[in-house]
Amino acid sequence: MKSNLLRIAIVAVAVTVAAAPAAAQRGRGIPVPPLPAGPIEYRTGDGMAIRVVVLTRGLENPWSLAFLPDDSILITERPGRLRLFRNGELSDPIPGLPDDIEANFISGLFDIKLHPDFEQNRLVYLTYNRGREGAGSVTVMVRGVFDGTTLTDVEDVFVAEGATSVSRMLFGPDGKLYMSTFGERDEIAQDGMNYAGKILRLNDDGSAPDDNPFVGRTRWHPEIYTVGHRTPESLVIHEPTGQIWESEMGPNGGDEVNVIVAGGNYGWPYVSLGRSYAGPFQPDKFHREGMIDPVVSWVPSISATGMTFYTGDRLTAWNGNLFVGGVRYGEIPGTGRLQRIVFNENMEELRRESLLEDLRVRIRDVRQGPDELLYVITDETDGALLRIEPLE
Amino acid sequence: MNIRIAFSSAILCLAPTALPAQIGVPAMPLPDGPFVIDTAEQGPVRVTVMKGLELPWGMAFLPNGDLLVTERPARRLRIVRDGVLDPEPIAGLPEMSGGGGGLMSVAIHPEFADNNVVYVSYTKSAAQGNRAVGLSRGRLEGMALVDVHEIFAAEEPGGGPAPGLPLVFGPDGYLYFGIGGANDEIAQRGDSYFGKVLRLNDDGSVPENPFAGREGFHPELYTIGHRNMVGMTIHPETGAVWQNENGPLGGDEVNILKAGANYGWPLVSYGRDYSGAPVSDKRTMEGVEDPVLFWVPSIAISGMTFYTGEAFPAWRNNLFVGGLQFGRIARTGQMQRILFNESWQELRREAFFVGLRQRIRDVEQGPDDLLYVLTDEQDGALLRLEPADQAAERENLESE
Repeated sequence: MKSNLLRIAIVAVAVTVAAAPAAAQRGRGIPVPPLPAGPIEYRTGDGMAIRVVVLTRGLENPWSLAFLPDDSILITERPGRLRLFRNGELSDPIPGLPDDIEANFISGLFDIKLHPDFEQNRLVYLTYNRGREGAGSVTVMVRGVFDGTTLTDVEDVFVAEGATSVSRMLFGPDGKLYMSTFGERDEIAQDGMNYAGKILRLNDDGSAPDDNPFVGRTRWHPEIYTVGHRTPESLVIHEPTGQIWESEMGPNGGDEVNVIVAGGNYGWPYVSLGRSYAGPFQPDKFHREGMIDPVVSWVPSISATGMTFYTGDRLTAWNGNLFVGGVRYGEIPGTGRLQRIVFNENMEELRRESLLEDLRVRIRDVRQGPDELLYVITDETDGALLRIEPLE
Repeated sequence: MNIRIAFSSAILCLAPTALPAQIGVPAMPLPDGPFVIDTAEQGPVRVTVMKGLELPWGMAFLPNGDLLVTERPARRLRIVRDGVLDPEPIAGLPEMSGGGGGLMSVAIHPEFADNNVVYVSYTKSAAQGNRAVGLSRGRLEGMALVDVHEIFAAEEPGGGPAPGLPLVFGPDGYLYFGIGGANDEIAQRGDSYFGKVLRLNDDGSVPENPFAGREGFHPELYTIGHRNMVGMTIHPETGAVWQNENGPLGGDEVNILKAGANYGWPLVSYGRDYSGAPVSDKRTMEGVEDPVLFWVPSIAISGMTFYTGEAFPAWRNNLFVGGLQFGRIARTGQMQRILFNESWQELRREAFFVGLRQRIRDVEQGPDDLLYVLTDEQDGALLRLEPADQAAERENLESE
């Protein structure tokens, strides 16, 4: 305990020194202190004492991660790189990625998922923002073969014409491949002939399954599964029910977690609990008949990102809780956090706890590892991979 | 010496407290201060701490800069002069009950400089199965209230948590008096004072109010459909009364009061019952005023004020609200700042004091243009916020 105190006192001084120049600028955000060398200990809301370990730094705006069968971790970096974290070491960028990844303020390389039969076929799926000369950018899904060091045989799986920017994937319990697209602009999220603002349901080769909800409907793309999404940031399975849960960034307020049902309309841009960045609400404000309300909402926004249901035993008191990352609270930079949501037996919310708030870093994704610990990535230019362990 | 609160894990390790059985993060002592916090837009802010208040609830500045503070269950009215708490409470308060209630708000008459008139709101003893509230006025003379008269009292069947009882004078000269404590449909009933805002003349008589003459409605009522009320303040430009109320699990609200309006509790809410079930399947309905701000999850909203001073230029016309706990996790109290566009629509929201783990009960602007904050703790405190000037900041860094 004594050595702990000493270490932390040093951290506090470092914070003071580093914060001063940034604070002097009086910018809109709150200065972000350097991430402590760790480990960092917390006593949290349901009696869980935890330790947060910094596994690696030096990740540039990491966006997503995937655990390989040997417990190493593939991590995407938004500027367009893929890294492998193995045996405590971060690899150089994996060769073989497409050369048309267009990186900008929020766009670039996004999600990574392994094919359910990865051990046999070594297939890795990626989503990214493709730059096209003279044709604008577009969200695409590709897949390639990963042999442990290099990505080869990369081919297009799906080109989501009309969509740009952020995209998540999920291999569902039905074996289908779900892909979300960004749909903030105008009314594209409601347009059946535009892939933006949708969740798509695909076969693993990108073709449309025959049993999709809009198959055969005139002027609707057959790949569409749900409509009316603004900025989907996560797709996960709720194991007890097999439901797909989605997290979505609202504008200024109105972050959402939705339970995804075939053919559902989730309301954007007509309905939101949030305000536009300029201040007014969306046209139908908070509800419209025929559009599905979220099961969890945020006002103000935490800028909800990746999420995961914790189903392990090592963080005992957290079993069944939903963890959601956030990059910014209330439109104030320097206020990222991880949140934990506790539900009753009907999956109705009971309470919500903010974690890692003091670090002030943008939390981009959170996953449960094969070791039943939680892994977190911070979306910073010197981003980090963190692991949350029980303190015993 | 200034201590910069880094909200680091140091705080956690310093706190000797064992893990509590209830759901909450461990308590930690409030530093004696002063300390510096980083804020958005306004930069570093120096916080001075004055301890010695027991569960304070409300405060009011006198024109000379002295500050009146209520201590709720102790039922004491205290006075702070130049940052020093007078050890003696002010004598002459009316009879009131303690427990979960007690002395709540204190407000001064708009012509206090001439008449020294002060108002206090409180809970009262009631017959078995009933609950009661009161509002008194008196003149402050030295360390005593004199000529104290109870100008409003109500006793009704019911129980549950004590109602919040905020008070504010409008620019129209009327006294607005919120009576919270309406966890159920009683908030919609015109023959109950709970879950309503009342509008009174300064002597407690009833002006021409929107429900006057309406069958089954008390004549004092100004607005209905509120849950538990805590903060009320006057908008600096429009003069409207802005009121806030606690939702259950989610659904804290800030409302702009309009004569005769219904604010919807419990017919509509953004919140969930404590069991997790939705309060209503509706978030809005015809004939119900929507809030101007709401919180999901709740911050257990408390006192609030608009900042109109010069000391914090970046905060002018921002709304400051207190919060007792976030997301129903104990010891996660905070203060929040809301910034608006020119149409008074929200642009952003900043949280302060999350690392302190104190219940923030009230925030007021002093005559010195600084912000003052009450912590709702057994060992409660008055915090004073002032901009940490750059020279002092450099000096401090060097000395560290």
